[in-house]
Amino acid sequence: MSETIRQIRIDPITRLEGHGRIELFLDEAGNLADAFFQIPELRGFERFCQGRQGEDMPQITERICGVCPEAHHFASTKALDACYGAPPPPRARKLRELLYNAYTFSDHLLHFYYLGGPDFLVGPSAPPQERSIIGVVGKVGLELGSEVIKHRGYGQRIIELVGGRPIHPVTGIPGGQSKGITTEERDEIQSMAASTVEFAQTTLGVFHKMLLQDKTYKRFISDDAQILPTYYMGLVDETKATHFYDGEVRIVAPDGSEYAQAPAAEILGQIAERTEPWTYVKIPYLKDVGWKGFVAGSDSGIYRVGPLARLNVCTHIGTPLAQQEYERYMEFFGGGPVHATFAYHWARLIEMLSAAERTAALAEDPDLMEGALRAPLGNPGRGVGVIEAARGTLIHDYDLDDRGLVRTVNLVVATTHNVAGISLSIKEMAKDVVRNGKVDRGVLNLVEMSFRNYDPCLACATHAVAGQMPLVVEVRNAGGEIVERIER
Amino acid sequence: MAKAKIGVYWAAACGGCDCSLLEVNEQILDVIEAADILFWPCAADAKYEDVRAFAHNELDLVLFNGAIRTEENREMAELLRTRARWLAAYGSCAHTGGVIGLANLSTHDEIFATVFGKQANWPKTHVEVAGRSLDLPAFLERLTPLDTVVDVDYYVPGCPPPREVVSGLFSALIAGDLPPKGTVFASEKNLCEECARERKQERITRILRPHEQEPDPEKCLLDQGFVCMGPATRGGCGAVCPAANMPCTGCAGPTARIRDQGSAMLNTLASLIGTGEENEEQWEAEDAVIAQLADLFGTFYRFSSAHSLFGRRYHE
Repeated sequence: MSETIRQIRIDPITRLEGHGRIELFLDEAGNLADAFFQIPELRGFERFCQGRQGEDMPQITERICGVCPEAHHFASTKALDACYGAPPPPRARKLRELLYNAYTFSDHLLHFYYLGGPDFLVGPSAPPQERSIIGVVGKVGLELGSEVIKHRGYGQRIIELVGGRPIHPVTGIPGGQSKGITTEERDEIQSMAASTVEFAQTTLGVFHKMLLQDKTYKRFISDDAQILPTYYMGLVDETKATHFYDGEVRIVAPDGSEYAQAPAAEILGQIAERTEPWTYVKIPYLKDVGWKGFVAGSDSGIYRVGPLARLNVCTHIGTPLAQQEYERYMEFFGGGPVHATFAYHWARLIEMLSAAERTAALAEDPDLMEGALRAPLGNPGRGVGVIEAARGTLIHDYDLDDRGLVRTVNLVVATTHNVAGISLSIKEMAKDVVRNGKVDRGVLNLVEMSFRNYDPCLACATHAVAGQMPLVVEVRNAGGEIVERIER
Repeated sequence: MAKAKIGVYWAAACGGCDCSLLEVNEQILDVIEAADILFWPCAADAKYEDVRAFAHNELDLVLFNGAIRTEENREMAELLRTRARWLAAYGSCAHTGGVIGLANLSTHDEIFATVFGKQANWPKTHVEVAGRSLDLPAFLERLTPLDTVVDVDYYVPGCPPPREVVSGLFSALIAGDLPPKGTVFASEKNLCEECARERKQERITRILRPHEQEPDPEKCLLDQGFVCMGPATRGGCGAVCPAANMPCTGCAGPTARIRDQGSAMLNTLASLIGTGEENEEQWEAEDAVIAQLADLFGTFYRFSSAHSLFGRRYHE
């Protein structure tokens, strides 16, 4: 081990959700000796959710993250559906999916124009005060800038109309939704959704022009240091198309072969976690592959989630316009799985288009306006809910007592899955760009760009993964009967 | 007029407050026109070293969201206080502690044991890893709102603050017309004043939970037996949750006339459950209704436990 002669702290890391810090250690020659990605925050949801009323959980757990509250809201609501053996009726399910796809659109838009995108849209070494949405508006012009703001607003407005509020929605209840929408609201949603499809296409045009032609982006998308062959995890529907709201968890190996596909409750048993004394986050990995340290490859249990992973685990997209772009993407990389970490940006925009297409299709669905909003509930028990948050697979797992109060809660959160991958990406990037002791803010921003690929939510990340929960999972059918019992 | 300088910071928070600033849509362009945002970790690249380099009172206004949960949160509150002319406790966590204040029902060790398991696995505030020195901010024994650690000039209630409130704050900022110290950016009255449901203050004979029955869309939720925090909660949001068939959970904190939101609501509820008759049978009937409240603290102090008269749980 080389002796550390210089320690550089990036604090806080910026343009992300939550608190994070990077510690770089340089050797005598001024090259990277070591790097640590730390999460210095913890709030303890697993603890104070105990004793709460189950039906309050969708509104309590969404306060884990105010950027992706919709993901927690519905992962929670779906866990309650399972706890009460009450899948929602078609009308409620479609209202949820409508809101959820609008959220995915809006959240991905936020990342491209506000968080991760400014590094390329404005430039990686631009003055820090310009590297933000303000600089983006300056660069792309007020006309496109106004469209960005307008369409983020459309996504949020759809969430508000279906969910009661634009941030921290309230309408998810066990077995259904607390309210429907009026025909006027439906008409407004239809017109906004159609516009989001066009805007997602416009955004892909911006990507092709401003990122795929950009020399920094071109460098990193093909640079060996930023290519990490890892396992990938994401939800797929019954045709193995990507799906944000529901499906089975599929895991593929670095060579693209299927490692596992199963309901979320079973996948929980495949994940182990480790703690490190220098961070408040726990680091999950595939138990049977094992922990080999912060290294990639098929012998290392490190897996990744989020847009890059989802496009690696599916066989197709499931909506026509996004499918075309997905084919273009796969052709560019010569087929999947795509291991280039900077491809997250492209994958995210393909999903943004798919989410807009799904929002527009759901807005036309006659089921939205007719039928029951609530399913009859069985007796409370154990339940698992899974959803694809913008940042990756999110699992809520509750055990309710006979009064419907929470006994234990287990949250397997999107960014947590990615912590090992993020740590690895930061280290590889720092090794690549910190040379001979030359470190300025432009160089340090390159280091930060490696984590921005993942669109991390560090407020989400510091939650217990597997291991703290009782050992039995019961999977129930629509009638509340136990159809499967899983022990770990 | 010189451009105003503003800062936005999150302590123990979820990011919803930061996103709520964008909910004003196109107005954000006017804000950018009128003010330079010099510090905003969620969306811009200034670091702590930049904040330390600011002069005393260099920032005209800092919107501080999140509660004080770690030592770093406390240090940043103190630092930003010295750099800000006006400091606003923005959102429920900074204002009253928020949902995460419910952690005060547990000790530091209980929280760590639940999250990290056995003590050998707990993160440490300082550790040497292969000769590298790494620090983490301490997780404090008790979570507190912003005004328990520094002097606060404004309060912006809500989880997160609603669009109209944020827009009003921005309009004042753009006009260079910030109100006097102590201003609360919300209604002085309770939520019921702006709720479209008809309230008759009916007697409650049964507590209903939101999943147990579909509420009548016209009638007051409390009249129907749902525990709606409206009477004890500050208005300003337009009663959006009751409009969505869900009870108010009290995110905007107590009204101007109330010190303790939870006890005020319990008082209101008790008066609706009781008949005033004093006999054994009636007491038993009232007790039976009260016993249906399954989670007193999580219901009545959902967002304000860290601000309540209870403080926290103490252990020998």
